[in-house]
Amino acid sequence: MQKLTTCHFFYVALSYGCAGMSMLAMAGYVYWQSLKTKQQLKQWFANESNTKK
Amino acid sequence: MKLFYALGNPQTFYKLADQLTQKLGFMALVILLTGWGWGLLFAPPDYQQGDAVRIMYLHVPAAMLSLSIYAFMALAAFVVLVWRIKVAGSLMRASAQVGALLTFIALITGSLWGKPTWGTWWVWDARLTSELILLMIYVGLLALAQQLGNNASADKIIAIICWVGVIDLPIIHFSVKWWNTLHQGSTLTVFAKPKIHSSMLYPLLISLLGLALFCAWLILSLSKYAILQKEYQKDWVAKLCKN
Repeated sequence: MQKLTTCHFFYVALSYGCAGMSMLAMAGYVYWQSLKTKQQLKQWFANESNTKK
Repeated sequence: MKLFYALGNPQTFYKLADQLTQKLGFMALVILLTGWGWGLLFAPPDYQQGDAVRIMYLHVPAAMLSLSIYAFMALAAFVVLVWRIKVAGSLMRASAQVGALLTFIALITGSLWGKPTWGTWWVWDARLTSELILLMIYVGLLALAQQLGNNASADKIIAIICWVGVIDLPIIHFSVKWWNTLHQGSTLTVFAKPKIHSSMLYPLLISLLGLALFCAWLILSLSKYAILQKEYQKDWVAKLCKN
């Protein structure tokens, strides 16, 4: 019974580990999107002001 | 209807999404950790499955949300097709990304739960197969979105394909009733009394709420950045950047 419980914990830990990593990766992707958007807008406004000059 | 049209305005939607995402992320984290902590540390083990049942607090919310997010995406697709609202297009694309993640988690955790309880990682059972098809539909929509670019006509094509995929939702939901499956029947239903004891039900509902809020945070965050990228030539974006 003890061996079975230890074995079950392995599957539980692996499940939460995989899901946690996937969710962290997605949160990282959101952060990357925010940086990318800021960079794109900065670039666009810089180009815009150069064109006006 | 007034609220519907107000939310269809990119500027109004952006402001609302920005306010909501500031609070939603933290709330989701606290509720999710409470639900999972309760499920992992304090909920009792199952009399047959032992501690393997603790995967339920992750697998069941992920599987339920993988279907709910597709239904939400189909609703956004309907708005794209009927009213041609840009915000709905962004919500539809963001939902596809989050839905694919949740379906992936549901399949992986289901497989890891299947090994100690059924003795196998995978069977070509109706529920598992239809959920795998859902992941393929999500990935197909994402590939199509990547290929077609971020514009109104691309949104229309994605919305049509999205509606073709809706046929998979009732198949997934009723698969355990229509066919003889290894997968068990529904544990939680909207109207019927839950089939599990309250000591397991409460952490399960809290985990479901936490994961739902996390998904809402992801969808709103991704849509607001998509809207900024689409609307970069508009005055309100220029004002926002100056502030």
